[in-house]
Formats: sequence, C-alpha cells, structure tokens
Amino acid sequence: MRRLAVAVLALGAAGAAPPPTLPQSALAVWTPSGWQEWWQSAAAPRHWTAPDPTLAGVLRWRPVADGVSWAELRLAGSGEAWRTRVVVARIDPRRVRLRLDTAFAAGSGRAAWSVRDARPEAVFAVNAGQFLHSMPWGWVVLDGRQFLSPGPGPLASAVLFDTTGAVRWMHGDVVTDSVNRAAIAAAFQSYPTLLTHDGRVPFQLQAPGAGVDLSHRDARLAIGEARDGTLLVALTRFDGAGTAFDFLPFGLTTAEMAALMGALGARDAVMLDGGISGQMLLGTGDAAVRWAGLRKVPLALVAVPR
Amino acid sequence: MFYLKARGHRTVLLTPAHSMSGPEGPNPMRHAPARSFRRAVHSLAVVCLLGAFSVPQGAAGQIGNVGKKARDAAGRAMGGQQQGEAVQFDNVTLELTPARLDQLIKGLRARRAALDGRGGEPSVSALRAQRDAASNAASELRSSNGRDIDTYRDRAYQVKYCRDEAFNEKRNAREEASRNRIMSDPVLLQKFMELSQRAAEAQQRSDTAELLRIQAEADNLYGKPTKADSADVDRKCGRSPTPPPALARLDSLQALEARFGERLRQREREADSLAVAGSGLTTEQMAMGEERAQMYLTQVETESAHIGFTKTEVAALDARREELEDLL
Repeated sequence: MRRLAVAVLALGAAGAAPPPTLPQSALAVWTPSGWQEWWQSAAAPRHWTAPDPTLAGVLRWRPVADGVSWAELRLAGSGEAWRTRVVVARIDPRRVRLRLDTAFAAGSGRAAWSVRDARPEAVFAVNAGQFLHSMPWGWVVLDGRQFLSPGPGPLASAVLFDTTGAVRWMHGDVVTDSVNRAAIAAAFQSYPTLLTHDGRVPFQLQAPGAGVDLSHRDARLAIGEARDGTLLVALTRFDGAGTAFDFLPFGLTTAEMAALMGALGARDAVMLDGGISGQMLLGTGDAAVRWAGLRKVPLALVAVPR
Repeated sequence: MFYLKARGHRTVLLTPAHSMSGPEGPNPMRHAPARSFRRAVHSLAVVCLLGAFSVPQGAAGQIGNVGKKARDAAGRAMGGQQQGEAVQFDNVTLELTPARLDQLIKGLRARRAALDGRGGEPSVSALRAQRDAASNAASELRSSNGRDIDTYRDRAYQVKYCRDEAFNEKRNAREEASRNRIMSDPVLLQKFMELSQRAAEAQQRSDTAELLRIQAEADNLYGKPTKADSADVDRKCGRSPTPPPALARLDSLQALEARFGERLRQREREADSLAVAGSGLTTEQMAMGEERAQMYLTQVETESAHIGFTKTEVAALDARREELEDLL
C-alpha cells in the first residue's frame, strides 16, 4: 500500500512519552489440534531471540526451486484480522542470485512491474520498497550504481545485496559515505522497520504515541532475514471468504507484523508495500505459484538460479 | 506497451501474462462476469465452513462472533452489490461518502496540476521524457559497446579480486606480527580490547558503518600497507586495465538518468503534499482513499461485484466514476 508514512519517518523518534501498552489484540495459529494462541499485545515480546515453536511447528516448507521454498499459515486475530492467511517465502541468497528490476510504462511513465511481468527465469519475485506516484521511495542501488538517493527516517531500513550474494541491513538513516559501495550489487530502502538489533522490536512499535499508527489493520507484506542467513518474506491476505476478499484492507497491525516476523525467526525485518500492491511469485514454469496485486509497482526484488 | 529498462544484467523482460495462477486460483478481481455467481457460491461454502471452526480460547473475546461475521460475509458475497459494512472504518480507512469522495477528488486534481507543471516548471512527463532519453541512449551505447565494456569489467574484477586477496594476506601477516607487540604494550592492548568490544556490539546491531570505522582503526593499530606491499601486489596481480572510452560516456548517461530520476521523485513528493493539502485528509487517509478508489475501478473494469464497499460508497463512486478514471 502506497502509504506515505510521513509520520512514521519524521516523528518516529519524537513525540511525547508513549502510553505503556499496545492496543489490545491477540494472534492464534491454526494447528492440527486447533487454534493455538501464540502472541498477546499485553505480553508482546520486545526482543525475539528465536522462532516461536508453535508457528515453527506448523510450517510445512514446500520447495519450488533450489534455494526457494514456501509455506502457509492461517492466523486468527482481533477485529477484522479474524482470518488472515500468511504466505511465507524462504530464500537462501547463497543458492540464488538476487537482483532488483524496474519497469515503467511508455508514455505515462507509470510504474509497470507486476508478477505477471517477472522475468521468465525468476524463481522468486516480490514488489520491493515503497513508492511515490511512480518512483521508488528511498535508496535504490542497481548493478552497483546508485539509482536513487537514500530517504531519511529513524524507521527506514535498507536491505543490501553484495556481489557474493550476502545480505546486509542498515537501519535508520543511511550514511552512504560510510558504505563500501564497491561491494554493493543492489540495495533498496523501505519502512517501517519491524525488527532490528538481532530481533529487537523498535520502541516506536512497542506502544502508541511515537508516530506510528499501531491500531490500523491492513493487508501486509514484509521481508526479514533469519539467523541462518535465509530471507523470509511474508504476505498476508484476508482469508474470510476464499479469495474473494483478498484485497480488502483487513489484516495485521504493524506491531503484529513485527511479532509475526520475529516469531518466524527473523532478526532484521522491514515492511514492504502491502495492500493492493502486494504480490509474490514463487517457482517458475508450470510449477509456479503466484499471488497477484491490483497495482503495478516500480521496483521488484527478483531471485534467479545461480 | 512497455519500454524496457535495460541496464547491464537487470534487463526487464516483459513477457505476455503467464497462465499460471496462485494456489487459490486467479485474482478474483480479474474473473469474467460469468464466474461471479460461482465465486459467490464458493465463498458461501467457505465462510460456512469457517463458521464451524473453533476459536482459540484466549482470543475468543477479541475475535468476536465468527459465525455472525461469516454470515455477514456470505450475505455480502451473495448479494452481488455489496451490502452492509464490508470494511472496518478507522482513522485511516474512512467511508467514501459523497463529501469525502469530493475531498479525495480535490486532492487528486491538485496532484494532477502539480504533475502537469506549474510556475514555469517542466511537467513530470517532460522530465520523464528526458530521463527516458538518457536511459535509451545508455542502452544503445551498451548494446554497441557491450563486448568492450564487459571485457573491461571482467578483467577489472579479476584484478581487483586478486589485489584484495593479496592485500588481505599481507594484512593478516602484519596482524600476526603485531600480536606480540600489542600483548606486551598495555596501552595498545587496552585499545585492542576496546575495538573488540565495539566490534561485537556493532555486529550485534548490524551496524555496517560502525564496523567499517572499526576496521579502519584496527588497520591503524596493526600498521598500514607499505610501498613494498603495493609493489608486491602490483607484480602479482597487475594494475586495473584502462577503461574503454565508451564507459565514461555510459557513466555520464547513467548519472544523467539518475539526476532526472531524483528530480522526478522530488516533483512527485511535492505533488503528493499538495494533494494532501488540497484534500483536507491526512496523508494516510488520502492514500487509503486512493487505493480503495482504484480497487473500485478494477471491479468496474472486470465487471466484478463491489466487494469491500458500502452501498453509500458504491453510489458515491458510481457518480464520480469518470472523474476517477481520468485522475487515477
């Protein structure tokens, strides 16, 4: 969703002292033995040090290509998140090549990338970052060259891919002078940061009043990195009535999304553009599975075989 | 229909839409009208099943009456035209009443005016044309000089890799040689321990910038490469090759494209600010209203049921449809 979270970026570190608690909510996951609650706002962890065993126990990873697999979760949450389907992709950057693609429509110049337009050899693709009217927001590095300069903000996160395929994260303002640009093959920025400092939830997501709307629910998309170096990408869809309501703005709050990424085992994580922009491709050819979006985007993270 | 941004290894190949679909079937917004009824029946079956699920004990009170929600959803899906409150409105998702839709359209018009150029500034489409010209010129240059450029880059990479490795080996040797010196000097030892502590902390919080600073300080501690080291590495790896003349031109065109990209983005930021100011909505309310209006237009285009909108909203959106189609 193209939410220009000015408040998130500008006020994240400011504001009055926040009230002590998150809006009341809880999350449960469907298991073979029924629904099991695994997170409560009143007892929300501020530091995720390991995957949540309940969630980890129900994930059934399905490989679709070398280094790429995916699993599904069914969550029950509060309010309009009463049924949320989560598609989780797991990508090993050591076994695929990660790159960023852009596409703009001729004439209108509008953003023009969608999973339908992903390069044929792609084994994974997802819309990356956030965007303005047609241009990506924040820092974009393509083929080792800075395409767009960094965006500011305490809850901005940059995901960097170096020439060996290793992934690095930079949270907060990007100080490009200090980055060894020669080693960066690609990079993009997004917001808000969900997990930083080895699984810590930013204080702005721990309680309201720090510039982030912690009660609004929406369809979400986030990317994170697990402690074993694999990337985790989670896409939520409202699951109330088959696929008919996929794009309704129902889903998790920002704090719940941070919890989901932490519970999946991420140590770093950031939100991507969800809502009608959220889209993901897994696998290739006849074996491919795809979750389409309703809006084309200017930037995509794509994995191709090594 | 699309122009391809061909930049080195990231050429985007826009192929015809694949026939594959996700595990839940094609995007419902793209269904042919004839399938609407079948989908509605499917939805009813699914929500009835969902109604039978047990709700986790601790979350039950907050999740609400699942059966009622399922019935409501089923009723909405069967109704063709959306009935009742399909969306939970909050401070971000506002009901698109005629008055709010009017605010949204005012904002969209303000954005359009800004993007079309004001105060003698070039329009966004003019900036895009300049950016695209630079991009296309770069692509042509790359096409006609691709072999020379790739050969240079391959060789330059090999040389750089060899030199980095060779300097690393020399650095490791200096570290080994310096270890005894540091261990026997309390001041150096203290400094070394401080750096180790800082490095561990930076590693824990993935602070790349700090790690690079620490690396530079450690290099100072161990001693920097000497002229003799550089001469050795030159002999072993050679020097980086001379870049082909086209590369400087390519760099210049790509820098120009990036500058136009920055200008475009700045104009879009300004236009978004004017849109928000013109609408009287917040940034988030404006973005969500725009997104839902786009969703409505997709439903119109695919002749799908207006799922996710109240009757009031559908009436208001129907009345302003042509304006929305023009502005979005």
